[in-house]
This record gives sequence, structure tokens and C-alpha cells, in this order.
Amino acid sequence: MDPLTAAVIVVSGITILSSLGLTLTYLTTKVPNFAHSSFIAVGAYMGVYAQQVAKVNPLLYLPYAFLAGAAIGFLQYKILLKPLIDKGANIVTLMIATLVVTIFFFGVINIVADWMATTYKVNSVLINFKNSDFTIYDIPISVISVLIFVVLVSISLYYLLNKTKFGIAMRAAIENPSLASVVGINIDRVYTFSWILSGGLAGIAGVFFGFQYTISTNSADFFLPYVFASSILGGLGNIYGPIPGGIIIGTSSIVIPYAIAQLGYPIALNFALFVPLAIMAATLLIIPQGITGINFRKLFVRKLKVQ
Amino acid sequence: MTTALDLLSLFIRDIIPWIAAFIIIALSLNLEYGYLGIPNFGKLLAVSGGGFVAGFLPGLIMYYAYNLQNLGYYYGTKHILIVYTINNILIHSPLLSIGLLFLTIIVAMAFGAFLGLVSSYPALKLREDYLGMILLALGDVLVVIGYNSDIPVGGSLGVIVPSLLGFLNGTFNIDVNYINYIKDALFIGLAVGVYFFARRLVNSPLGRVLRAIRDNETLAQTLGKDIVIYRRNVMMIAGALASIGGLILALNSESVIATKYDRLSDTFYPWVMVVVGGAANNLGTTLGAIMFILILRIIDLYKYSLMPFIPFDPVWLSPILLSIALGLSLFFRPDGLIREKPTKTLSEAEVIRLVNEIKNNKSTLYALGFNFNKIKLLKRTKIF
Repeated sequence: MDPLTAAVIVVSGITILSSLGLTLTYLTTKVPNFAHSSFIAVGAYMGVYAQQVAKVNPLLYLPYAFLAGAAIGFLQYKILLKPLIDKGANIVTLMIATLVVTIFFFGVINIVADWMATTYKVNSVLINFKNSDFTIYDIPISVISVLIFVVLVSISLYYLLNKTKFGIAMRAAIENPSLASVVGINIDRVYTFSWILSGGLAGIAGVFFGFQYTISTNSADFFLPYVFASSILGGLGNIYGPIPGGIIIGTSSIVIPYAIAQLGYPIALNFALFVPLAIMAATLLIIPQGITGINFRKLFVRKLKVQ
Repeated sequence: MTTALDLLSLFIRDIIPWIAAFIIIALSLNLEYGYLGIPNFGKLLAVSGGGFVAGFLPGLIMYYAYNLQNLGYYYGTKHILIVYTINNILIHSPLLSIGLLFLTIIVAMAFGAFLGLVSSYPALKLREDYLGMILLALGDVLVVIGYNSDIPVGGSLGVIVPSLLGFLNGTFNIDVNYINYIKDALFIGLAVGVYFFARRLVNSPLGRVLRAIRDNETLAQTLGKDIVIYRRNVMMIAGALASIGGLILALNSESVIATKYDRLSDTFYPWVMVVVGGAANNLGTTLGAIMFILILRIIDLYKYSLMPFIPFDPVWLSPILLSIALGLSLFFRPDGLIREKPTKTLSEAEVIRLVNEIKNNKSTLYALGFNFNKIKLLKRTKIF
């Protein structure tokens, strides 16, 4: 398979998985989670542990990555954000509270990396999972599993939100928390669930991260703008926003630098970060509500009337 | 033999530039967040801007002014030779050195103000949450450029900053140790200057306007204050100040490499300092900065004695300690160690006393040329 296509699919998948969680937590607790990169980094280090210490394919550690991310998301909400929200903290205070987790896990991840290096005598920084990426019918396993995960997560999210009682309660809690709590929906349970899911999905994204990028203790930090851009482009008000947002961000951040490199400026490959940044700025200026927030029908009807 | 006193003086000399730089960065963030309520999660942009100016400006000016092109390309393998040549010129020309130093500081401040202007553009349009996200993403721009391209600071190799105080040794035969003291005095001078500037600014009428905008935008607007202009100006001032912080870090180590500026140490740590020390209180913020640099450097100092007992580098304990301090502060002391002082206005009794005094002394006031219509106007607006 063409490596460019593989890169596009994997990066889009990582972006979708991680920004789904970001949008979910934004919809419920209304705070942009700066610690989202910590979830990704913890998932990535689960993969590093699998490849370097346990000597198995990192994909086998996906459940552990999910659990680790989910646990951090759960603790972040229960220990840090919930008590602050109950105290009536404003949004900037909550944003600062997410910094607590970011700084804390910067230390923890470095400690884990050092511990792996000294205890097991293996490399624990500048790792990628390219060697674990075997192919089936010429398609890399990372591409297959990313596709499976994205489709699975999207379908189950749709099913959860539309067909189950809990999902409908969740939508109600997102739409209007006070009204939902009046009819007996446990808002706290809905919020806890969204944080667990957010952390878990980012943990899974972290394992896939190693198939495309080099993992270092701070490498997930550079990915945070991608996640923000994808969530904002899709629309922070809509849970399905990250799916188109992630596809556009993932594709353009690979294809545009590659195209410029083909024109004779190979240095463009190092500046891929500017693509999501530019898209984020353009979105906020032109369509702040995001793609899913545009009323396409209204746009179309208005055009007809003009003609 | 090195005594404990020598070690202490070494330690103090090591932390002074750090403390000076972070006091300045934290004060600039305090100006934006504490006094105006802008959540600037992109401090890294202005800090790295200041550092990069120190990295390329003095070196490149000398490179072109003295026609050193024949030695080779400025960045890359010949860089050390070129900077060595520049240093040899500089140690015999005190005026040139001082001029370059001041030029670097001024250009860094101007560039920082420009970066503040750039980041103020989204700050005028967006809500706090969106603003936080875009500023955080924007903060990385200069570092990415600096790391991946030769032009400002030599890419992954970094650059050496010419020694701008070398003339003290070369021309005036001052001992190298004393030059370090002079350097520290310069940094402390900058920090003290910024402290008093910030204090003056927030205690002036402008400072009261900023707090009014923070507390109630609509009210400030109804009183005729243009929020857009105030936000833009404050972000420009804060950008200029933060870039001095980055400049101090660069001049201290006499080298610049893009990876030395990162989101954690230049954006998140100043936030910890401001929030724990006390937002909207310059003394608290300064205290926070001093405290946290001390914690960071003491852990650095004792890391070799801790190393045998734990299977990792003890420096990673410092982010954990800092984050716990931030968390505890959010719960138990949300206003910080030193709280914001309420703005002192005249008490009601004082106002009534003054009004009565004016009433009783009409003739004197007329004689002094006092405009009596103003008082009538005030009465009509029912302030009294």
C-alpha cells in the first residue's frame, strides 16, 4: 500500500479518536481539556512498554491503553473538575485545573520512561512502532485496525446516543443539564461516563500514534493543536463533528506539506503543524460554529431564492 | 577546597537569572490574566520571540557589519569560528557592545509587542475557551520555525550569542567572576524595573480600567471604555515584557536553541506561579516565581544525592510537585498566597464630609476659581 495513503488514514484515525473525546468532554463539562495530550502520551507509553519490555505487538496492548486513559479521565473528573464545578469555578479556573493534570503527567511519563530504561535496559524514548507494523494483503495492520476502530466507535456512538436509554439521557444532559436533572437523569453519571470514554479513546489513539510518529516523552504535546483544530473545525457543539473534522485535518496535514515538498521545498514536511493551525484560525474567523453547525439546507434554499 | 559558603554563592548566582526571567514572564502573564482576565495559554510565543531576537540579532549585525562572510555561512560548521571572531572584536569595543546590548533589548521588546499584537487579534473576538485553545496552538509557531529552519536560531544545532559583556574583561581587565556579578545585576535591574513598571501601571487609572473590564465588560463599555483598545494594548505590553524574560534566559546561557523553549516551562510554569502566588497581585506573583524557581533548582541541586535511591532522574519530581501545589492552591487558596487588594476608594462618610466642606466654603472655592457647576452636575446624577 502506498505509504502516503496509509499515513493519511492513520493520522485521520488518530485525530478522529482523540478529538471525539475532546468534543465529548467539552460538550458535558464545557472545558477545553489541555490534558488531552497526556491521555495520548499515556496510551503511547503503553505501546512502548508492549514493544520494548513485553516484546509483543503494541496493538495487543490496546485494551490496557484504553483502561489507562479511561482511569486518568475518570480521576481527572472526579478528583479535580467535579469538586471545582461544585464550588462554582469559572471556565478559566477549570482550564487551569486541566493544567494540573498536564504538568503532573509530564513528570509521570518521564519517570516511567526512565524506569523502563534503567530497570529493563531498553530504549524508552524516540520509539516508533514501524517494526511491529506487519502487512496483510499489502495493507499495514495499523491501517486496518485504525479503520476498524474508527468505524466501530462511530457506529457504537451513534447506536448509544440514539437507541439506548442511557444515550438519550446523555443527549438530554448535554442539551440542558438543569432540565435533565429535573426529570431524574443522573448528570454526574453522564459526565463521568463521558470523561472515561474521552480518556479511553485518547489512550487508543496514543497506541496508533506510534505507528505514524516517533514517540518521545513530550511528543504528544505537538499533536494537541491537531486535536483542537479537528474539534473546532467539526464544531465543538456536535458530537459527530470530529469525524469530518478529523478526516480534513488528518488528510490536509499530510497531503499539503507533501505536495509542497513535491514542488521542490522538502522543508515543508517539517512545518506540518502550521496546516491545522491555519485551518483552526480560518474556521474561527469564517465558521466559528464548525462544519456540523452549518445549516446546509438553509444555505441552499437562500441561494435558490436569490436566483 | 570549596566550602559551603562557596556552594551557596554558586547556587545563588545560578538561580538569579532564572528568577529574574520568570518574575518578568509571570508579571506579564499577571497583567493579562490577573488584571484583564485574558487566559493567555500562549506565553511561549513572546518568550521564545525574545530569546530568538537575542539569538540572531547581535551575531548577524556583527557578521554583516564586519564583512565576515569570507569566513563562511553564519549558521552551521563555521558558526563557532565566526562567533569567536565577533567576540574578539567586541572585547575591544565597549561602546559597540553596550549599543548592541541595548539594541537587542529594544528590538526584542518591539518584536514581543508585535507578537502580543498578533495574539490579541483572536483575543478580541473569541470567548475564553476558544481563545485558550488557539493561543496554545499559536504559542508553538516560533519554536517550530526555530527548530526546523536555519534562519533565526540555527535549527537543531542552535546558535551561540556573542558575549556582549566581554569588553569588561578585555578592555577594563575586570575578573570573569565579577563579570558574572555585573550580568546578574543587569538581570536583577531588568526584573526590578519591570516590577515597578507593572506596579505603576496597575495602580494608575489604567489599572482600574483594566480591573473594571475584567469584572464587568458591559459596565466598562457603558462608561465609554473601548475594550478592544485596552485588550490590544495590554497584550502588546505583556508581549514586550515576556520577551525580555526570554532574552534574559538567552543572554544568561549565551546560547539559543529552539528546544530550550517549550510549552511546559514557558507557558504552564508561569501559570502555576501566577495562580499559586496570587493573581492580580504583583507581589504575590513575584513571590510565586521566586518560590517555584527555588523548588526547581533545589531539586536540580540535590538530584545526584537522590539518584541512588530511585530508578529515575529526580528532576521529574519537580513537575509533579508543582502540579500538586497548583491543585492544592486551586482548592484551598483559589486567590493565591497573597490575595488581590480591593481598590481603595473614598468611603461614604468621607465623601459626605468633603461635600459638606465644599458647601460651607463656597466663597473660598469661588475665590480659588472652583467650577461650581460641576458639583451641581454631580448632584443631579444623584451620586451624592
